[in-house]
Amino acid sequence: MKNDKATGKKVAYLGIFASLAILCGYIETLIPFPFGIPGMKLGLANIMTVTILYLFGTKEAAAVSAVRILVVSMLFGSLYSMLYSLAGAVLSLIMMLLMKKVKRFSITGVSISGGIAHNIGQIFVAVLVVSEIRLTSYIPFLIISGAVTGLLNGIISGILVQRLQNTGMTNGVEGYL
Amino acid sequence: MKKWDWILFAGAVCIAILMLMLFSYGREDGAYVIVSVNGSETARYALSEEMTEDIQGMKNGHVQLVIHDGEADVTEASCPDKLCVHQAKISKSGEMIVCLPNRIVISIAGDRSTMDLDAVTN
Repeated sequence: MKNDKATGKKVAYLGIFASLAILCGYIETLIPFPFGIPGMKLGLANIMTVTILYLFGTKEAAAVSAVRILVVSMLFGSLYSMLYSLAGAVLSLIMMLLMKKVKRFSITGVSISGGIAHNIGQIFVAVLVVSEIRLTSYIPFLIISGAVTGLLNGIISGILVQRLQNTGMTNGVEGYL
Repeated sequence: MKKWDWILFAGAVCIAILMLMLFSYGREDGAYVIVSVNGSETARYALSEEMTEDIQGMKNGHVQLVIHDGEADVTEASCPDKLCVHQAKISKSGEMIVCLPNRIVISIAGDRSTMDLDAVTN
């Protein structure tokens, strides 16, 4: 009984996070990022992924990312943008899990590694799509942009996690996978 | 932010800058503009000519390639994100402009210094 209640609570929270993540994805399509590098973007939705990763756990973060990518690509993108996002998200999540396990890094460091991994994952899919290995020459720019956006998003996630934990909203729902 | 976060950040930026230096090392002014669609070359132009050309990409997409003053630039594109239009003009060998939705890659190849020599002997 208690478990059912906790599950319901968690599903409701994750729903809210998913809608916030979709909103972030939408806002991103409105913001031009005119540096002319494919794959360079703010990665606002990663704020939500990192926050969920810390508040709930891996499965939850992966599920919300998947929902977000599906909805955002269907509404505002294409099949290819879905492919790019998916590759980025998978690599980013794996990287963030590893970095989180290392314990040396705070949420900001985890977010930085996620931002970089996301951009690199995307460019590798792009290399496959256009069969153009020279696209890898964008990697330095993508590392820098991933690090900077990851840093900013990580700071925001850190504040979010702290505040949400203070409200006690995750009491009894976090942790069990 | 912890110390290790900064180390990670600085490390990533350093690696990126090193890669940039490595990639741009020894880049010469190019001689040709090579257009490839979906991985195979479809056209080749001399960087010394002045021209505007509409390039057909995948799925009825197109971009407008302008070669002017020894630089190649994409000035128009059918794709929604217009990343290729925003990309800087290219003139050095190895540089490129990419339009992912249309799968068009415009790149520079060859070496202009040898071309210039030809021009002089002519």
